[in-house]
Amino acid sequence: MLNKEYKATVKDAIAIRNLSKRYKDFTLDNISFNVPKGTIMGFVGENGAGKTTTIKAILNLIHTDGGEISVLGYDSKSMPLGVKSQIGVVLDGSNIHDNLTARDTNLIMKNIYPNWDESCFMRYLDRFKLPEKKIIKEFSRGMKMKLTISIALSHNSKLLILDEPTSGLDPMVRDEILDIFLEFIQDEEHTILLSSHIISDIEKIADYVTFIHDGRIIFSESKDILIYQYGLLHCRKEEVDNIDKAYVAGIRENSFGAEVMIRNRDEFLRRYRGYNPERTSLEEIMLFISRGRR
Amino acid sequence: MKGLIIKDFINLKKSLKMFLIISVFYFFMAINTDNPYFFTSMLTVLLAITTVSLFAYDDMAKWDVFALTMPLDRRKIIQARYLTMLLLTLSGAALSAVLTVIISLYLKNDLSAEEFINIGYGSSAIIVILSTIIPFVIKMGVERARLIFVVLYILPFMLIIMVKKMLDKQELAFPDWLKNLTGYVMKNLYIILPLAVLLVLLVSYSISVSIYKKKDL
Repeated sequence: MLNKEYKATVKDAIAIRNLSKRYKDFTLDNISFNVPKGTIMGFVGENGAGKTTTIKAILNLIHTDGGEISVLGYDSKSMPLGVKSQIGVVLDGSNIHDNLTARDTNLIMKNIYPNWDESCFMRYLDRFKLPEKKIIKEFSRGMKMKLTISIALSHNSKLLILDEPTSGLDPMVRDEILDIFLEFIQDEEHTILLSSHIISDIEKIADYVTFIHDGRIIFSESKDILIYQYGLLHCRKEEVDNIDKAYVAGIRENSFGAEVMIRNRDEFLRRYRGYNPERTSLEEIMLFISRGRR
Repeated sequence: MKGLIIKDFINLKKSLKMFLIISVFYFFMAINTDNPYFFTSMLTVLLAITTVSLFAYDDMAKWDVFALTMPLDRRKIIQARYLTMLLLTLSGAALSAVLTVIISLYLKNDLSAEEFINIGYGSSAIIVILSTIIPFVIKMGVERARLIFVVLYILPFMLIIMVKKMLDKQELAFPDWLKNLTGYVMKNLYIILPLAVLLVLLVSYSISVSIYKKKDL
């Protein structure tokens, strides 16, 4: 596992070490990863892999069975309210009452966030073409998402924690939202943790990728390094057994032959000179790891 | 915290309009009955009871999980809810008082202090009932706490009826010390009642905070 060593430096906006949470039917198993300041961390995994549980633990919404989490340099369990106000959060769903309007939301947030920036909020409403006086019940899913994103961005946040902010949205709206995140990250002090099961979104904007599968972290690494380190090898079925298992991330077989996802591509190339794994994508890597045979 | 109370009142906007309409309706009912002031205390109860629907609204929107990502802690969220409850009860009491005055002016009755004292009793009773209910609602959600409400409402009545029956049949007699105590309490009710309500409120609040602090959201 990568990133096994944990260093609580101010370089990390979020640092998670050995986090565990046990439910009856699911366990978050001793997970560790860091989100470096100034980057976008894509947090990927299938539905039910543990993304939301991890995010809830970071936000101290659930009690954990072990581990430590630091957020912006503070223990997540005892974060000062002033620090909390610098975190913008979007959770799956809208979380705002159906019979409120965007204008009501402004009034409420103005009285909750000491650093609320009303004019910034109004600019986002304008930009997203969100009506001020319409009740949220009549908003589409995309509009609701845009409203919560507007809230997250309107109190001078330094850290955005976003749980599936683009799921269930059409490609145009998703693109628009991803652009906003890219704008946000222009400031070096800004950081985003973005969970998604839409890998193409992550591929588009993330600097780092953490892959969670079945409550365990499979890898947490820079996106470029990942794509460089993995390669897809096409070969005959009989050849598969010749490859050292240490290099195999997953195998897929069909009637024509086998495809093997190779890890540690450089080392593999030195050892097996005849083979030439081709460049691959994040999506392929994850599919092989989660669905392929080993 | 102010934001949370504002949120509650905006959410109740529609119901509050309903209350104004009900008040008008009560006014006409009241001036046509022998007991014109009975209905006014009903208003306090109705208004205070909407506190419970606030929990339902928050549940439906999954608000709490979001609110706790804001610069608010769990204690503040509970504080805000209790304050809203008290504000609603006070507005109910104020509305009842105003209505009482209007009715008596309309009927050209003499106003006695008793009417206002009754509003005070009504408000105290509803605060005690809500203080009992709220910790259950926080623990198990509005839906599942419904059964508890029913029991809480019925139990006191059943007890009173049972005790009264036993007293009538002389199976049960109040010992003298209890009679004396009751007499003493009744004589000093104006001071004992507010203190008792305050105590119940504080106990309920601290139970609610400790339940909420342990809750996984």
